[in-house]
Amino acid sequence: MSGDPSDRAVGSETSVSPSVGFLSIRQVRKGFDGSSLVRIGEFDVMEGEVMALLGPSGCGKTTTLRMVAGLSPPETGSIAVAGRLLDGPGVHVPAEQRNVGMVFQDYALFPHLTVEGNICFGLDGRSADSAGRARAMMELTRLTHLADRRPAELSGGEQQRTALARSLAPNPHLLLLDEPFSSLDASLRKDLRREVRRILQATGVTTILVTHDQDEALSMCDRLALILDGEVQQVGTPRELYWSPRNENVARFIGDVNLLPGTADGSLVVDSVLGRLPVQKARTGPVQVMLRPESIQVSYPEDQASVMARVLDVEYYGHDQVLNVRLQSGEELLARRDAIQPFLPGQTVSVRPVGVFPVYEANRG
Amino acid sequence: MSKPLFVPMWLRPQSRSGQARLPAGMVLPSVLVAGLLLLPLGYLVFRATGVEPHVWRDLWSPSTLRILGRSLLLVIGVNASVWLLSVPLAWLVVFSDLPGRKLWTVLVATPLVVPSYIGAYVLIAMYGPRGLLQQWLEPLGIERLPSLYGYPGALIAITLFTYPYLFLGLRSAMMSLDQSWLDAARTLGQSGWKTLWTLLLPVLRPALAAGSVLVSLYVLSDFGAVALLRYTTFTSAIYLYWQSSLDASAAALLMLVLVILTMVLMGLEFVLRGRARIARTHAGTGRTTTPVRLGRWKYAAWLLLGGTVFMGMGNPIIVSLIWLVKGLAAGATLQPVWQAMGNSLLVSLLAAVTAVLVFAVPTAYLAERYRKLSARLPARAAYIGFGMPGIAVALSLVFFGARHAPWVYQTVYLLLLGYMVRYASLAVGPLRAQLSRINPRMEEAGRLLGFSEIRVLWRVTAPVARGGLLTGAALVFLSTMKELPVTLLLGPTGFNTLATRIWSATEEAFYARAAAPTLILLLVSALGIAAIFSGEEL
Repeated sequence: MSGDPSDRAVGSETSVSPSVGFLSIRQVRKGFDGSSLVRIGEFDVMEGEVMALLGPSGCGKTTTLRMVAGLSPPETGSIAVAGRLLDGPGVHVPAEQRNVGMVFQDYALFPHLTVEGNICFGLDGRSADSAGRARAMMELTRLTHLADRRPAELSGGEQQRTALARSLAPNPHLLLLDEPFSSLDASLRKDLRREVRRILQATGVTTILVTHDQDEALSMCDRLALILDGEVQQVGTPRELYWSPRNENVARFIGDVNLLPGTADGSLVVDSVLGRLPVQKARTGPVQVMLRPESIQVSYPEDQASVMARVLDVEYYGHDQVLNVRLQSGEELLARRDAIQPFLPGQTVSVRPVGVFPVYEANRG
Repeated sequence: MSKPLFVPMWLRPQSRSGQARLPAGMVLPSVLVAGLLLLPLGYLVFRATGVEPHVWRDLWSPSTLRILGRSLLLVIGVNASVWLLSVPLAWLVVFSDLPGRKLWTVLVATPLVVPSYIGAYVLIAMYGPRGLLQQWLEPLGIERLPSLYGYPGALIAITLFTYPYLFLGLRSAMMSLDQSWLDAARTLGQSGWKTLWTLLLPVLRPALAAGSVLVSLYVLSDFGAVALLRYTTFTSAIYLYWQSSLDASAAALLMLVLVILTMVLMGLEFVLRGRARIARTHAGTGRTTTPVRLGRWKYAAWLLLGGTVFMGMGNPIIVSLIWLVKGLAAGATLQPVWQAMGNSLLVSLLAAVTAVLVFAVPTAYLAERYRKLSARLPARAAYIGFGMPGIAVALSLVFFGARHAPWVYQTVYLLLLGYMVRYASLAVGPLRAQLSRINPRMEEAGRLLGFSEIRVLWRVTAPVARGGLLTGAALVFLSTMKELPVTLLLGPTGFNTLATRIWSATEEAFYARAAAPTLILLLVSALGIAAIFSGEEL
């Protein structure tokens, strides 16, 4: 896609050392004033990437976003964007001087202005060709035919695109999206996610997206950071967070989990009821092996080489199905399978784990 | 680095506590104007502290005590008559099976727009010596009517323009009563009267209390009616002191006593209003009360409603129409009326625009968006000015201007300040209500698009809160238009408004001259109130 509407004047101003992100947050702390407590030791977003902040409501992800935007200053620590210190000891750059764009959860469009008026709002006095810039943004977001409408006359998706165009128009260093899909119909979300992803790719803007929806985070972002209880638990690609969660809490928040007890002997293999399982980390003693439902292959007719199980329950989703099976040893497992072959409760099937699994210390019963 | 031990919050270069600092560009106009609004009260206190000791003794002199006694007598009398009028009126429009109860509600409430001096003028022009009634009865040989001046006149005039406050409060309290409560009480074996006492009274008590305090506040503050009807209360005594150029300190002392009394009532009203709101948990919607059948009593009801509306609204219109015709027939010209109307419109417009743009916008924004005490202080300051009687505001500014600021004394600017002190608060309320309904994220979006908080206020908040701005401006405009004592005392020499024309014409018994200004004021007020209400319903 070559729709990049303008040259990016960012990054060239200051040289940024390669170890520091385009956005870097260091030792930031907030929450003494009653907002949800946030402690972030080190957090970086690279130039041009789309980063998700994923976590349950109240975990502090929106507070983090508002700190980056300059709407609510951190109590300690520093925030820098494009090599410029925005918050730090004795420094607080006000929101209007940060060149950070934000799309709010409820879009917060200006009701007294048209779509075009909303998009032009941030362009005043900035560039000589603000009308042209606004036109380009409307084209990018496919709003040209709605230019003269007021926000009240737009659908939810159109409002969202207007908000996106409005915050992208001044060519921000950084774009922040606060739960941008939460106020939309579930049926619309998938299409709109794709649309937003397209627009973000076209502009190449560095983006942080806050969401509590794991599908959204996994499908839309280059990397994601999982936040629980005000602290960043893990940062990585969707694949990393899904297949190699650092701890049980991370694993449980993203997708379904099967935790299987086992015994480790210091090698990269763990003994369990499913046999010897290859694991990602060498440990010793009692451990828990985490298997996603997708890595448990269920087959029928039974394959004598594998472990046998009985189907307890079938959840059929159309695109796939999730089977709840019980092993002979008594453990219950969730297994995901394609939707084609029918299974029935009571049926005997064979179960085979596929992959290399994360392993955690067995600290609790 | 050595640090000072204590740096006040507002002096720190940047708050790192995570609490947003108040934006200077908004604090500045808001605090400056709020300071100006407190000037009359401040100056009054200053003057009163500087008086000779003998003046303090005069505070307990028989003449002061007599004024206090007369004022209290009027407060008690008006309250009694307001209760007698409002309770049955409210009951009729809420609980009875009278047809057209909605229309009656509006009609009964309209005397709210009649300023007290118009009420007084109408009474005098109708029932006073040389009034219409006297003229009509003269052929029958009746030379003298019982005198209207003094207590009875003041009582009637003030009752007629204050009863709507209690009536409206009682009405909404009664509407909040659920039929189910009444039914429940009946099924428990209570008789009708007992129901009234055990159920109705506790629910209505907050409305009765708040309404009475409000009525008392108006009685104490009223100048026009008592002065025209020559009943000496605080306000009219203060005016007399000033007119006869007696000791200014004595007038200041009287004013201070009056202001303290009204401030106490204001405080009381503030507390009671909060309680009344709590009591009214059910909004008036979905009321299913079965109407009480009036039967033969309906004739009495008609008489009460009709009589009240006639006295409150019909009488002013009819009397001033008759005098207008009489005046025109006698060859009077309307030229001075147009000039006065122009002045009235001009100063009212100036006051409304200044109050809204310079004061209400930043003040309401601060109070609503930074919900801490310091951010609400300017709004409170304006409320204090609103609670001060007009005569006290006016005379205090006269003293101040004459002595310390001769360059604004007797200019439109000081007059404007007087209006602002009295009515700036009116512009803040509707705007705050509107701001509380506006999404603060919208303002944040404006800031992230590169606009400072102040520019966002003007480019985003103000246009969106247009309705609140207009309502506030309309309230200030209408109140200023009707204001008498401030205009009378602070207006430049020879500066005539509709209000001062009605005042001087009535004082000099040229009733025909007051007719046209009265009609214009009533019309503008009615239109204004109608516009405000229809705007709020949209």
